[in-house]
Amino acid sequence: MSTPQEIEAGVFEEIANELKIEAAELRVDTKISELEASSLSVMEIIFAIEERFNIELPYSANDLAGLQSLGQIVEAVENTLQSNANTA
Amino acid sequence: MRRVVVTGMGVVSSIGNDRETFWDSLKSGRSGMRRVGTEYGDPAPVPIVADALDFDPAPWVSESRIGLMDRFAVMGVAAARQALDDAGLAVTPESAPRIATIFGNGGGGYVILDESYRRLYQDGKTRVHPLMIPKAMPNAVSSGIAMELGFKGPNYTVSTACASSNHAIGQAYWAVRSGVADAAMTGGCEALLAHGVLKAWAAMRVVGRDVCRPFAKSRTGMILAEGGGAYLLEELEAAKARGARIYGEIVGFGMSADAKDLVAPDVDGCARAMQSALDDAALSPEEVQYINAHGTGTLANDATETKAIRQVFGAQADRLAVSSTKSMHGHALGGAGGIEFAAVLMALTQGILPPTISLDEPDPECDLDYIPHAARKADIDVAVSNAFAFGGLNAVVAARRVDS
Repeated sequence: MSTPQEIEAGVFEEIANELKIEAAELRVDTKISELEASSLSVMEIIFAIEERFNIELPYSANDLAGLQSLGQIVEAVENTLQSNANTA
Repeated sequence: MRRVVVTGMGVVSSIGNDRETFWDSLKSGRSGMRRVGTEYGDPAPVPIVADALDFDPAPWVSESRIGLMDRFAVMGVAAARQALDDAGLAVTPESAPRIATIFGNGGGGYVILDESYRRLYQDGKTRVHPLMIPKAMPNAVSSGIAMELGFKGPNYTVSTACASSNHAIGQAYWAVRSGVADAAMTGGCEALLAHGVLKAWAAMRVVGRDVCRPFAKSRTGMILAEGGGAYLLEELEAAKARGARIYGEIVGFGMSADAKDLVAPDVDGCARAMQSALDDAALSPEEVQYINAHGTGTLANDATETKAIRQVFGAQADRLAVSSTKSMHGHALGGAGGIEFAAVLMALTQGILPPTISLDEPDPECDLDYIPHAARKADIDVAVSNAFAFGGLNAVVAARRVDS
């Protein structure tokens, strides 16, 4: 399983790729809303992260409360990987 | 200009497969939503759907034709047969070329596409059904209606996602109004509840994990449905002359494009479609008393639609009643406007406004009178039906009560 550092780097890389920005600009307390990402970009980012880690994230366009900062996305990836590992 | 009235209607939906059952469900606030088991794939691609489980086309569609169509077209033809029988219009060699068919459908034969591709990619089969192509084409429904009912006039299918039905109804209205046709069968239908398609909807993250709660603070998204509605439109004097029952007069149609976002709705675009329908009808905002909202139950739609209604109706927005019947029959996409126009016409003729159920606590962003929980008695003269599609295409129909 990936280390927390690898997960964070992977999440940042997918976001940077989608938004055509430098991953080095991203921090865990960066809010998605600060990145000027359209609703479509957010969907594409989530998809890219899910594909990279082969997981399904609990994300809904109708409930943005849970995944507002990049740290929350990293945490959701970690939790999902952990829970998949536990049930495997 | 000729005046255009509705003399027949038919409905297929999760809350009734004929006009009477459908209206009884709307009046009593009955939901057609149910939790999905493994029938659309395991694990379930979406948690809840509003499917027309007990739909049986046998009373309305000839047996030989049922096998030639995918589920969406069978539903559309069934609704059209109901509407023609309801209207009691005779189709003769003289009248047939003057009857148009303009029908809405968003996706075509998604069910047969899903089944066929599964055979090829998963089951290792080497053949698909020989009629896969003509079954899957979206215009299979308007063609099927023409063949089943003998209408030989102008015929086409409108495909504008969730606005398909309203675009079709508006086009049919204009065709009869202008004299291109003397009568028209219109409406729309959709049936795309299949594993691959449901996975695609789930991927968009707009599908609710709970029942559909339009305008509610706790709403979690739309609930996918199937079904449709069909309407026979006739010129007013001709309808009167043959003593037809009249459900209402279509008085205005408006449409617009957001020209903005692929999926996010736009206040200005929605407002321009409503304003355009009022202008086409020469109606003032004060004359409108009821709006059947697009009201999908997504975060984006319900707040945007509310703002658009306020923008168009001004002070009248606080006086008119708005409801989303999708809270009961779910979102039938290209068939949604077709189902919802029945709610509008029945509200006009019966003096009862259908409710928005499951609206326990409204979102502060949604601050209109949504007729929460229970139907309401109200004699109204003018009602509007909204439909806003992915791709930013909007279509709004206005109808008026006709006293018999």
